[in-house]
Amino acid sequence: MSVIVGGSLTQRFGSEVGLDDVDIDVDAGEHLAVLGDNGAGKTTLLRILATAARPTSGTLEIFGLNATIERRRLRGVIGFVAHASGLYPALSAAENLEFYCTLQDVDRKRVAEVLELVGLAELAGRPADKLSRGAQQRLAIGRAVLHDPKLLVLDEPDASLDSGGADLLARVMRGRTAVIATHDHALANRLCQRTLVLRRGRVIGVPTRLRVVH
Amino acid sequence: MRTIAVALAVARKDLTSEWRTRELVPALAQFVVLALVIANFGFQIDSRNAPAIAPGVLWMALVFAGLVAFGRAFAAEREQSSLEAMLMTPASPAAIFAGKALAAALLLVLCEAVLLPALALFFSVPLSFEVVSAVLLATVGMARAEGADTPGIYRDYGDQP
Repeated sequence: MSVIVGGSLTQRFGSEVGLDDVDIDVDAGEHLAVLGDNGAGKTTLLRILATAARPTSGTLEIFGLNATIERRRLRGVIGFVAHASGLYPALSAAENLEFYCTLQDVDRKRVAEVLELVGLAELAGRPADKLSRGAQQRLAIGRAVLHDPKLLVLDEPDASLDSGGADLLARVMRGRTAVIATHDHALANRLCQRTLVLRRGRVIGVPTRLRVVH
Repeated sequence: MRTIAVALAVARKDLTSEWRTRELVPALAQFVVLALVIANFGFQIDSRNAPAIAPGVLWMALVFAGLVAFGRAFAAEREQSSLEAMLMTPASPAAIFAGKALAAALLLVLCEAVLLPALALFFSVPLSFEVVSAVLLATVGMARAEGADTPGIYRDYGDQP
């Protein structure tokens, strides 16, 4: 069963074309890697899939819902890690997550589980601006899975992560459908079943099925 | 109930951040005191013209402080990219806006607690219940006027294109 079905997705920024006639289909539980050089359209595509942006044209269904209209409903089942962490620097790691518990309507008991999951249990009381860049990224990933989403959209989540980052990503992606943008082909090979390569906003070739290494 | 819970959580988060960083309130308090000092010297205040000039100075300081307070409420979120993170939840953008407006209004009330006694001191005008009420009402009005920013948020992140 397809979780994401996108047809002819196009995004224009004035005269610039960010995404050009992209078709995408992701099955339930599947992990898709989106590869491409800087400016290829990876972030544009992921922002559309995460409902953070509307395509200029094209159709997109996520879990059978029109993703350009029923966005708030979908946000309850999508976890998104964007380029910027979007954390509150003066709040501790735990307080950042507790705040999002209210916004996501999630029990605060979940905070301890998530901090453990992303390896920040010992830094729970440290303000976000006193965390290393990698720890901030772990916290942003924790925030994305706080509400136990069925679909994860991860925009270069490996940026700033240390050597344990791939294991962390494998843990949070397990049992979920995921779309991940990365420059790291080895990471894509390890975490994903298929790749989609973008160049100048267009899909290059056909989505490739990867050999999964566990 | 959920809307109220979200609004209160957003307000509490903003007030906690301000308490720990003390970025906005000292700047606003400094601004209103400076405005009063400059007006006091600039207008050559005496006992005859003070009652006529004081209301103008009060509203000028209040409106500019309000613009800074409410503008900063969203600017900081945009700079940190945290506004988008909030809007990427199922929480209502209206509840998020209400929480931010509530926090900014409370911070402005703190500045008014500096502004009004300072006004009375510099201009030798008495502080009446009516003046305090009018200032608080104006604060509520400014918070509501900040709603002008929400259509853009709805357009970018709301359900309808």
